Amino acid sequence: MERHYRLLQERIHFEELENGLAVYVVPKPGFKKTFACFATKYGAMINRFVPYGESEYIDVPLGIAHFLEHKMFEMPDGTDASEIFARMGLDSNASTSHLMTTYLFSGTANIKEGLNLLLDFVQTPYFTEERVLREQGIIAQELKMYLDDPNEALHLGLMQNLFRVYPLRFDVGGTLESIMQITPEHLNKCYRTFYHPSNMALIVVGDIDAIMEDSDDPIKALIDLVRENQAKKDFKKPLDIRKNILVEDGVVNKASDYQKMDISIPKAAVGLKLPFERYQKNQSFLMELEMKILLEATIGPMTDAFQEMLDLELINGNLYYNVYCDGLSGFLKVQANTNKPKQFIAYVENKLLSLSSIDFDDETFNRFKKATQGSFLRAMNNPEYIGYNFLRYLFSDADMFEAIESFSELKKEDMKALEKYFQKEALADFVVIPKNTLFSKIQ
Amino acid sequence: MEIKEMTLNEIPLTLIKTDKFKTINIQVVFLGEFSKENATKKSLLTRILSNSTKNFPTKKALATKLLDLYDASAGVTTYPSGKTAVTVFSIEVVNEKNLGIEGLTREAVEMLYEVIFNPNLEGGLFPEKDFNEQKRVLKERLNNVYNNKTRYALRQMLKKMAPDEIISVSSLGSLEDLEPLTNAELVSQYKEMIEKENISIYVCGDFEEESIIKDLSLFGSLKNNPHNYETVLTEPVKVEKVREFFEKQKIQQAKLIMGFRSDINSKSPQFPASLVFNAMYGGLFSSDLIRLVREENSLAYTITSMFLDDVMVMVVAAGIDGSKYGLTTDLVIKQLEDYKQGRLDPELMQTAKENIASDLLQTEDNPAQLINYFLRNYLHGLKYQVSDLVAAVKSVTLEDVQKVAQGINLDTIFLLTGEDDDGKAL
Repeated sequence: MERHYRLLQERIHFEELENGLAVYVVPKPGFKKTFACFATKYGAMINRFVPYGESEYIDVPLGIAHFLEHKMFEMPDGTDASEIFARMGLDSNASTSHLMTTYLFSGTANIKEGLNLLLDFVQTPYFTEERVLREQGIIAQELKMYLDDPNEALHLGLMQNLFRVYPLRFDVGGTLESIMQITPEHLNKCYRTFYHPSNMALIVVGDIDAIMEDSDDPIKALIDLVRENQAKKDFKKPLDIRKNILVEDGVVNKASDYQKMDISIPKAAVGLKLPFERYQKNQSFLMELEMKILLEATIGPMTDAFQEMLDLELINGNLYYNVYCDGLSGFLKVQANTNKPKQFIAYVENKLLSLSSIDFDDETFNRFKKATQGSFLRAMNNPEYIGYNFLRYLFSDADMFEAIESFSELKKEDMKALEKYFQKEALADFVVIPKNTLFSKIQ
Repeated sequence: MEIKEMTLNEIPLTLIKTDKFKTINIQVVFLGEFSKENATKKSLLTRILSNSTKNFPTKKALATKLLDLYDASAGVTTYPSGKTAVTVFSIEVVNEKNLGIEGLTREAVEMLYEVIFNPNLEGGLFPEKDFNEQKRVLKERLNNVYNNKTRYALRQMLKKMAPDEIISVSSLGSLEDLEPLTNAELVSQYKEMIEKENISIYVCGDFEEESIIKDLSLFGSLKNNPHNYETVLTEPVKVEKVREFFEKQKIQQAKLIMGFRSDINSKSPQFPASLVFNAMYGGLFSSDLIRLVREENSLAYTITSMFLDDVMVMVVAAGIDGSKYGLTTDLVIKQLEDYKQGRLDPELMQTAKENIASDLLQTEDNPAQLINYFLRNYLHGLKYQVSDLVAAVKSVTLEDVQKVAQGINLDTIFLLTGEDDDGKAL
């Protein structure tokens, strides 16, 4: 099936294979690089589920999806898939988020071979005691690296204040303690359950004509390559995955907290919890987009508020904001380096609460619509952006291209629907301060 | 893709025409001297210039204008290459063809011109409020380097390694130079850039040549300064004795930074071989250092090597357990010694070449990187097309890599470590 997106001037081809694997192809003529991403809808969000072929729920240690990602690269013959990619001149990588685990490669030659390798290594599980032990050492170092990063501490602290039980409150990598409990048996159970092709998707972004240069119908030939690869493997029949993700109400866990670290300038973050509700198709994407526009119009560099924060020395030049919606819940986050964390928090919270009554003039609204169209067209220069984000939104029930196009029909009045989210009980903050300062003395 | 190099009156102009991007990217680049004396001024100047202009005198006005240009992205940065400061004014705007409108490229050019040539001066000075604000912002930014432990450790290592050399000067500036800096000094730094520095212009995208040259004619009346700039250092530094430095902070993971002197710079004929050396040694994920330190000995999650090729320095950086300091540095040193003796894996060299070639070809997929490639050629007086450099890398031999290694010598080791780590290893 082919779809053409008029505003973005992009095409996408889709086919679901016999074993349930969803394959997407986005042609980018003239690009030297091809980007391929193979992902499972399984991440740090899922820690309780019924393993494939069993009937009882089990709990698995935190950080297991990420651990599994590390271990997938090891092949039964002792080789490492990333080295085989490298020998082909391909860059490979992988990442785990709460929502998904992705395996990807990019390069300028040997793309067909790379695609086969990508599918094969992810579909060859092999876990031994000895290798799990060694990996615990490597991941412990990775976690320690993040423990020294004040931005990570700030984010995690804020998530723990926002959520009581929802797994966004846990670091994707787990903890130094939890990863030590992981066994090959855990890994096998997770793999069997979540790496079935029907729970996965593959996207290829690049110059398909160049990759499949011998073919009259390059897109079909590429999809056939994937189909042939899959036909050689024997998959059990897909079952509905039973998983138990803890959800909660829209009230924050803890309104405020702080942590001390060896840093020079305090960091503060304000978060707004998005309630657990039934999100419609494409809504996760549109929610993020509309919230970002609201933030930009309220405290972004084009506002008087931004200048006021500088004048009051509440921010040190930069303000970062981020909106995340995974189709179940999510958050909005505003953070800055600041010498007056408490005053910064009060200022931002006040601005956010003012959005419980949204007052956009036509000029501002239309300016943002225009700018949004421009920014997405600019993003289409970047195959990685397209590939990664397409899957990330696919797994939160949105078609990124379709959602971008539907955004052009958004009316000013539609923004009113967001007002209900800006409630005091949904706000929390977190501060990281230098180790030798007293929190009570902070402004 | 079609590349044309021409001049706009006296200004060198590089036109990179390709239809694969949905944007037009324009960069105007100034080359001037980079020194301890002007680094902080240049750093502050780029901040002031990117925040307001005469016609858009506030952040709000400037940001609103960029949104109106379909979210155009504009920026000013400055970075050193050897003893030369490279100051880049850039704008990226959606190609008007993709929007079915006209005049957007022209407006983007005008905006870029406004940012460079029409600063918000009042009575010959930047507005005092903006000056003080950006001075404060830069001060906090400098203070904030401490929060990024790897970056902090790298800066400390360079300071210890070469306190009197240009290498130790950060293009971000320094607190001691920022404090006494006056508004008038900043304005004269600005005037010096406009009047005395070398200008070149780069455009990338799907444009009509005649039309883009017409749009750029705004810049056509400028004079240029065809001065020879020292964009690389050329004198190898001999290492007398390896020095070690330690600092303690309350952190979980120690940062190890090792500084080496090399005899190769970006203009050397051995430059392609140094790319291959670096990829094999610690640049690639399958490099020898990752294999040895991470995979075989579980000593680090990351270890990487990189060349600062304009200043003939190589750096190895790793996040390690502080008590494993001796073990890790021994492995890094021993691996270099193996390379010097010619103990090199031909298969790894092949992998390195494939990866470098692929990375080089990919510069053609990103407008900013593509422009940067041609800017680099201009800086160093090179004529390499991407395909020439790929060919040069492919013809590198094991002996070439061995020679690169033989020109590399450890100079300084810096370890930023946790307060709780016991002192034995130190």
